[in-house]
Amino acid sequence: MTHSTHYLQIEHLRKSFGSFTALDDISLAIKEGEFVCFLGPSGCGKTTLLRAIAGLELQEEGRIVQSDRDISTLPPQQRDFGIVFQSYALFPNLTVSENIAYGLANMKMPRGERQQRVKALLEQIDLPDIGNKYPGQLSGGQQQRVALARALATEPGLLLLDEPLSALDARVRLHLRQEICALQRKLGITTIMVTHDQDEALTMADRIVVMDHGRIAQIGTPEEIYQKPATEFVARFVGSMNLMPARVLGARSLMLGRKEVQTPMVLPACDEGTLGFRPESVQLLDGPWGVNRDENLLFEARLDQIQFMGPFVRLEMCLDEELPCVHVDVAVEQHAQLNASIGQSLWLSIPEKDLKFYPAQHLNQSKPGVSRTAPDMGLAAMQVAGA
Amino acid sequence: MNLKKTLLAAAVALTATGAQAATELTVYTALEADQLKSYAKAFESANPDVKIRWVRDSTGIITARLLAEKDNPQADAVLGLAATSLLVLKGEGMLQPYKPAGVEQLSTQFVDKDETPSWIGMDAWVASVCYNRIEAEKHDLPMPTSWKDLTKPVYQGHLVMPNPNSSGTGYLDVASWLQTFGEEDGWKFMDDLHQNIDRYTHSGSKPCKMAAAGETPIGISFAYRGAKLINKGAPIDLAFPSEGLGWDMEAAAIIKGSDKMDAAKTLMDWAVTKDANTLYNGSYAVVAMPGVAKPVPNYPSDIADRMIDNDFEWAAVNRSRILKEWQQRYDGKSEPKN
Amino acid sequence: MSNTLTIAARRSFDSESWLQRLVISLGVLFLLLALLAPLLTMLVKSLQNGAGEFIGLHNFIAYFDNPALTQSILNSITIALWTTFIVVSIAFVFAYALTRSGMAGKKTFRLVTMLPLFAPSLLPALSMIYLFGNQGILKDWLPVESIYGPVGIVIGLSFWAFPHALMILITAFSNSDARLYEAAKSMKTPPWRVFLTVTLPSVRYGLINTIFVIFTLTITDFGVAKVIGGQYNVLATDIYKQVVGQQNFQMGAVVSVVLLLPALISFAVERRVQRRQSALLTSRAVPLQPQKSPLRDALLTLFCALVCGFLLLVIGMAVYASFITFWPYNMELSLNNYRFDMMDGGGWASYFNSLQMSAWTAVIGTAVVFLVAYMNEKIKLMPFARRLLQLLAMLPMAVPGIVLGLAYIFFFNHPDNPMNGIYGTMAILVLNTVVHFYTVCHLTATTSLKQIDNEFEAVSASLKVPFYTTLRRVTLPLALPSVLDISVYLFVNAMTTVSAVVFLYSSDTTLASVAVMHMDEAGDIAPAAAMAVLLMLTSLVAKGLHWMISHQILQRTQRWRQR
Ligand SMILES: Nc1ncnc2c1ncn2[C@@H]1O[C@H](COP(=O)(O)OP(=O)(O)O)[C@@H](O)[C@H]1O
Ligand SMILES: [Mg+2]
Repeated sequence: MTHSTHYLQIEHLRKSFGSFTALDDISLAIKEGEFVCFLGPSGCGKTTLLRAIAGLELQEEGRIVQSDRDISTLPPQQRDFGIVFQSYALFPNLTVSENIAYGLANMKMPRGERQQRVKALLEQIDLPDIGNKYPGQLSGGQQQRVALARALATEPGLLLLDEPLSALDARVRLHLRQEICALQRKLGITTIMVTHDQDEALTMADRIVVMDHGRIAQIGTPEEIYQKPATEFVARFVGSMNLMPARVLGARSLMLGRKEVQTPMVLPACDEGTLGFRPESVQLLDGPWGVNRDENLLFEARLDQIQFMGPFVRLEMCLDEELPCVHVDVAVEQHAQLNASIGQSLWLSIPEKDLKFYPAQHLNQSKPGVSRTAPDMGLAAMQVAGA
Repeated sequence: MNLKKTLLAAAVALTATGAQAATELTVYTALEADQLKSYAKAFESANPDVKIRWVRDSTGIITARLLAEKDNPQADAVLGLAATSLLVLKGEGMLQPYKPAGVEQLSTQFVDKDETPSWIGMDAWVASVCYNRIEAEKHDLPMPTSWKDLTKPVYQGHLVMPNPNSSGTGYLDVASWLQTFGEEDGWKFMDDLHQNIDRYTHSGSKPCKMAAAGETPIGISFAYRGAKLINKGAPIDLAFPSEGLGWDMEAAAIIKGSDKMDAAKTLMDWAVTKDANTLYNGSYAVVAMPGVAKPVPNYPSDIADRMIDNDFEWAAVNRSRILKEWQQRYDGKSEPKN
Repeated sequence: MSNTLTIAARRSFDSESWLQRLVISLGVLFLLLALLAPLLTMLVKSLQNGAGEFIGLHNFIAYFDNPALTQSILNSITIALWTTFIVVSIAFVFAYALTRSGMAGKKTFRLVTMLPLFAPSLLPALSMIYLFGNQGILKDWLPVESIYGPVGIVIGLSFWAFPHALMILITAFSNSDARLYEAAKSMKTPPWRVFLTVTLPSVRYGLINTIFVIFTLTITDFGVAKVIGGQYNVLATDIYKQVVGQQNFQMGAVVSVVLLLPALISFAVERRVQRRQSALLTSRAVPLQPQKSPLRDALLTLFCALVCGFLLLVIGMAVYASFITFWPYNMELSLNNYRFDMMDGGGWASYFNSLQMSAWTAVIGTAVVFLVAYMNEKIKLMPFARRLLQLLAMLPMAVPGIVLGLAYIFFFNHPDNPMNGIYGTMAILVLNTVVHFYTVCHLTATTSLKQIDNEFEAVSASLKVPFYTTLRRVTLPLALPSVLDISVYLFVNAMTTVSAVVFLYSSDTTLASVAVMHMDEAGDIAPAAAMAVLLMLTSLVAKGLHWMISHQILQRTQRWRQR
């Protein structure tokens, strides 16, 4: 057996519920101390994977190795992890202290030491005075932190978090993101967090595992995932992305709707595909002049709607009736300079590095309905998925 | 010295009773609830090493239970169950023949005819009609003097009698009518009677109690219950139909397979004693041992003369056929009055 | 599947999950032995002759050839239909008044309607005798000639079944959505149309459910028909007569099978409806605030007062009659009727047996029901066994008590059954009663367990705390109110039930509820009423204790419930 540098290794994991395949050939390695997010629309198998790691679901095939120990068939009691559930699952009839000490009682820890540990944990989560309260008397954010403290109390080697922030309101959620990250860094505990919120994953994780229909779509750092989405699915799911169906006419030529456009990059050999670019990567121009078509994609579109979004303005632009609208995000000042009015035609220029082209995929990869569950997706993406 | 001996004897006696705890004998019975205590007390004071555990229900139910438990008997003995029922059990081979000491002193008709009898009779209980004076007056009902009287239209809806399927009294009535009137006329009589019956009750004493409470003016029941109720102050009289009164014996027997055979035999021995017969006489005018009977208050002294010449063998052998026929004729009829 | 098995088989030894497997298996075994096996034995008996030889459908042919017996099917259905119609109509208006009107005194009305739950079903029947019998105080009010028969059965059953119907309908009415009424009002819909288009559809499933529950309850009832039925035979009393009167166990089994059918059908329909009802509940609704409307409220108050008056009259009559020395000729008050030792049925010993039996049933039953429901709800092992468990747990609801009792004789008194030692003991009475009332308890436990977070078991596994510790420290305390509910439900029903235990008691274990029946059979109606009253009082005391415990002790130990 070769010694690996990875703390947790998952190899060819498969799990199904009846005829439904929830996890399909999942392989994954996590380094010690790493913070990994499982990201994906709900129902894609994130929780199932997390529970398989915890031993709460039993896979049909595959191996799980945790710090060089094969834990594939161990019951949860014999594995080494702490877990926080979406519902927190705090015991409502026990005080906060009793909740945190719940796992300690079993470790034959002397009473005094136990109290000491509970106190330290309460301080660690910044709630030193709530030990005698019951969970029902706490706010959602406080409950969440208590659940975290309980999971950490037994000093597990692996921390599992299943959508720990989804039940909180926006403000608390932002605050706790930072707290959890800080605590994780401080303790250096290997952590896996499940979330369907791309912002959460992008801001918190060292690495993100994007999942789709029980498979891994992409593994990478937040930057990689955002900038180089490996598949159309990832592109659609992470950040907003304009996606337009296109017919390939030549190596550098595409049919967008009823218009032929020249692309700066060489297109793969296929008939059809999807052209994608992010709304913020577009430069708006009054005319097609002065743009290098070898480095930029250029086309004209009509301004249909203007939405004020706070830090920026989102323009909805129509290229062609057959195509979904294109979103273009411009800074507020830039928008003021542009002084565009509805109905006006503008030129859109997108640099080559920001352009993605996804050849038409196998049917099962772009099933409609996936997009429905992803809340932050742009209008264009929705329409693509629906088409 | 003498004192020492007495003490020693007492000590021995004490250890003896302590060592052999009283055997508990499970006895199935259809005796009336208010008789059980005195019977058990009398028996247990005569035989301190045996305790009686009564299982009491009406005749039909006790018979049914005994039959149901045929493969796994729960009873050790039976005391105070209709002889017709015991004859059925005997036919099923469920009774252990035993000849109690002193059985010769009983009237022969109270003892099973076999060499070693399977059952012995205790007393006889006799059909009679309870007649509520107050209610009868309200409805203008004359006191019936014969069974045939009861079929008169005037009594329509004013009669209650026990259901022979559950009640021993009910069965002795039916069996006696079939014997007195003959099979064909007997059923004819019951057809007519059925027109007047308001209700068939589960137990044999209930019609008389209903008459006593004015729930019905006339109840066909048995004499002992009537006498008791009169003594309690119920406004009823007893009528003894002239064609003759049906009757049955209360009898005792040992259940085959009992593991307390000795105690069961003790009970049988007691059941034929004079003391026991005297006790039976507290409730019944006719008992198994001749010469014991003394008159019971409000109980006719000449009742023995009014009893029909009952053929138990016939009543037992035909029991299931008669009950089936009866059920088919009268039981399913939901509205007895039309 | 085979893969799962191999991985599962490779799973390293884990004493905890084996303990869980063991408990689930024991639960399944318990219900198989105490419910399914007796019923199947009975089914087999119905195909045998007296000597135990297989004779196919001969018994059934004999049964259907006998018009006297088949008449009872019609009678049972007639009784059940009438009672269902009367009870459901009255309960519908009553529930409407309690939930939708601005009527005053709702709490009092609600309390009074609960009373019949604590009385044995024989009590209203005995009351009928004193109210409408030949010496009854209200005899002249009776529109038919005699109370003994269908009319008496229907009135008695209506009294007894009413609170059951009311409970379901109140729940149905409480679940409606105020937004629909506001919408209707904003469209100026006349009240009768609102009733037809909003009110009725929203309680539709509750109504159907009630109809089937009441139909099942009444078609299987034994006690009322036994006391007040006169010559009007129904299926349940036929079973009793066949068995005790005719010694015809095979025919008893046949009638039992016949009685099982309508009960099973209506049970199946009810389950189906129940499922839809719960789907309806998940929608987000705004609770309706009842509005005042003087005329309607006055009419409804009058209606409720009449209904409650009737319930109190029935109970009051039984209480009063139990103190009368010798009805109707000596109306002096005395305690003579409470001298049970002079009566049939086992005397005061029966009462104490009943207390003992009920206490055991409450303790053992609650423990078994809760543990089985817990395993079924919270432990994810052995899916097939758990599905079987769930099915078996629902079955007792459809099995009439008298059928279950007879099935127990067949099964537990069989000489080859190694468990036949419990025949005739307290144990068989407790076992039978637990099984007889299993379903409602199981549903109560399951409902309360469903409200408890499903991840507690996973959390404790991750903290390496055994599941039984979490069961003791967390789940049980959380479910304590419903555990208490179950135990008092079992106690009260064990105290008052007649039908299932009537075949199973022995002379050492005579029961008070059966004694009521025996005293009535022997014609001692007043003592029977006295015992019934005593049973009702005992049940009320138990309920009172339960109330005190849940309001006093719970308040102290369950501080966490306060927010
Ligand atoms: N116990 C189960 N039985 C059947 N299907 C399940 C079970 N648990 C999860 N699933 C299905 O597996 C899929 C993945 O579920 P899950 O891992 O919970 O998704 P998510 O990514 O939202 O956490 C879903 O379609 C879900 O319906
Ligand atoms: Mg999930």
